[in-house]
Amino acid sequence: MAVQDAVHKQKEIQEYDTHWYRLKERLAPYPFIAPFFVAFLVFQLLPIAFSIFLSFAEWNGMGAIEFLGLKNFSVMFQDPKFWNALKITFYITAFCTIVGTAGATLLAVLLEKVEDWLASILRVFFFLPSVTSVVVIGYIWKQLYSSDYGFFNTLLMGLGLPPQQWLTDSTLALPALLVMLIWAGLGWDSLIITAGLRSIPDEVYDAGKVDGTNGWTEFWYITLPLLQPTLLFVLVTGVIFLWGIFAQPSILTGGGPLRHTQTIAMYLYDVGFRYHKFGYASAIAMILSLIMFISSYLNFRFVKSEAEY
Amino acid sequence: MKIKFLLLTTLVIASMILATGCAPAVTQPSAPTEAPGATEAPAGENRTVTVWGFVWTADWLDAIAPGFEAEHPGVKVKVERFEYDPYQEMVLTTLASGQGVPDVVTLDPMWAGDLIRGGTVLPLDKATTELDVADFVPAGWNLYAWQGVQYGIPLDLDFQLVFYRKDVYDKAMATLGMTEFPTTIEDFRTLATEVTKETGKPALLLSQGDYYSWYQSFLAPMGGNLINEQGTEYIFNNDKAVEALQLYSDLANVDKTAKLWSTDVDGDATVALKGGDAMAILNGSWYATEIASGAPEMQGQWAIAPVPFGPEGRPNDAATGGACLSIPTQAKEPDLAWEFIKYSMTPENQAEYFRIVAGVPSLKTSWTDPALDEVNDFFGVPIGRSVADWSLRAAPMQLPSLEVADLIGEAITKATTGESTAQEALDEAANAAPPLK
Repeated sequence: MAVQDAVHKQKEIQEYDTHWYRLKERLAPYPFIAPFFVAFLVFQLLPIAFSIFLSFAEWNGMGAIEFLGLKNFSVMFQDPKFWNALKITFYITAFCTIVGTAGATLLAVLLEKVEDWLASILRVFFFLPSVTSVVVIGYIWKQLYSSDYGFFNTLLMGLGLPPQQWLTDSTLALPALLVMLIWAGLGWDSLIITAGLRSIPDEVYDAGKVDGTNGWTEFWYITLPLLQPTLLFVLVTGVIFLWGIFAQPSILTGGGPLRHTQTIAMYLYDVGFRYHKFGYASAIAMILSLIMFISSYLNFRFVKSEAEY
Repeated sequence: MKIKFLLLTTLVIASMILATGCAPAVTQPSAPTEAPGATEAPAGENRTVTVWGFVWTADWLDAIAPGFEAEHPGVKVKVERFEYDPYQEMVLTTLASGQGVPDVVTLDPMWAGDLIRGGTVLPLDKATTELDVADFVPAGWNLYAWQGVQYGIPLDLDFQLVFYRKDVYDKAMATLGMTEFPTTIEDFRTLATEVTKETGKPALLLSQGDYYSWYQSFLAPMGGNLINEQGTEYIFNNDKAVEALQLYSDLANVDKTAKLWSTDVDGDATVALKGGDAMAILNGSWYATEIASGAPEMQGQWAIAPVPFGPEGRPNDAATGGACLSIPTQAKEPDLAWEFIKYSMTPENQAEYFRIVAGVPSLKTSWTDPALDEVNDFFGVPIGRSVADWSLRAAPMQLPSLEVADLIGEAITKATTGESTAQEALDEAANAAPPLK
């Protein structure tokens, strides 16, 4: 009896040990990954949750938080400055993605046609803006556009044409910003497209030549269709970046004249950090996040698509 | 699936509650109340009073700190210096979060209004009994009084002056038979027209979309203001304001004697003045130092005068701003802070302020200091004395929120670029302004 008890007890201890060992084994990885999740919770999830909460409230950063329900959103949808900023951001996004991507494609294709040494030099030249601080780019272009001392006006006057108020004329400020943005993004986009071009097998072009393609038909019927996944990637990442654009217009024009270049991110900043309306700013941030989410969804949907050879 | 959803919902709600709990608690402002003597540290125990200032103001705070420490054994003054641009956000973030709040904070009139109305600084109840209010320039003192309560003690007086090319203007004045710089709108317009005619350049640079400049130099001397006396209604779209904005626009567009200049877009105005592209500019007295260092080769060519944009016999020539010292609501050492502010307001320390910052102090007894009579090499006159005398004819600015300041700035741009009439632009701004509470 005593032996049976001892065996039973031994078995229990073994089971307990095994169970404990398995539990320890299962729990062991968690402390190692916990720092990330704790940091993620504190620095990402909580601020997001707080921002969601604030979008339904009014808070000036100093006094009490007052719950408002959906008032911030109803005010936003009737706020002409919000719609203006949304419209400006849409124009910038649409123009820069379409014209910028077309320009980058053209540039990448042309660079593939020239001598390697020249192409390398030109690639460095076009890629330089991508590794230059946006602040530096903004200030350089601001100098170029200067009404009194800028390069463009000096050029115009040299040609006998009247100088322009590039950054203070409401009809010229947005085009001036768009030119700078396209210039700044051209090198990066063309680099990605170049990578896409080089992934197209030579055999396809050889087959095309057998079928009698010329430069144009080769580009139209072979290069462009096979470049589609790369172009979609460039387009969609561009859309996501441009919806949140802040620094470049902020430095070049400050959103002026009269909000003609004010993007949604700049308006959000003004409302939150200049006017201390953190609730309203959070509501704008929610809408901006929604737009970003839709863009990201489109990204996932489109980038999945593959070219068919 | 339901359990997961419940867990997720619980997590989100818990996060929101936690986040709400993280928001700073609202504390009722109260004046320092400790008994006299509470500012001296007990033997063996050190106390620190933390003081925040920006650029030159911080240099001055650094200079007077040892004197305060000597008068208060066991007390250390910790001066923290900031550049001007990031200072506003630093003050707002710190005062709002309640973390790392200084005991004394320097406020700037460009953004102090929101902080005062937000209850982030203490009412200085002892100010009227422990300081000689009559010794302060009224406009400076009243600048930081809101609804009859004092929230800051003024340091300097910052109102706009005309900085003009003496050689050019004197010649034009001689042509017109004028013996002194104009003091009325009509006389100035006549002179500016002559200057432009003689030089072919704008007689004056005006800041584009700058509410501060328009308010100080046009609206206030022409009898207007931002808010009515009861504090219940915006009045920056009334007849006087429309007239002031119309004049601002007419100088540039009708007389064509002024050029609208945006520092953000056009760059440093001193470059234009140095290049002879404009013959005068409106700016605060601090600009005397700026132009002297930016264009040293033009020494002797410049002069200053009060702004002339008002009717004859007007009560003031400009509205004044200027920095102040305040005590944050969540200061750890409010009594020490008040003692420090009182100490900083002695005539000697205020004269030291003038020597370091070059801004004329609001405290009149400090004006007896010989430093104010020193002749400025660049202008050839004692600028400090002139500015001090003129400050007595300044009105206190009202401190609007930044949102209202931006709206007025947009109205100025709309009216001067012809997008709207002055009345339409100001009406639009007044209608879009947040309600007064």
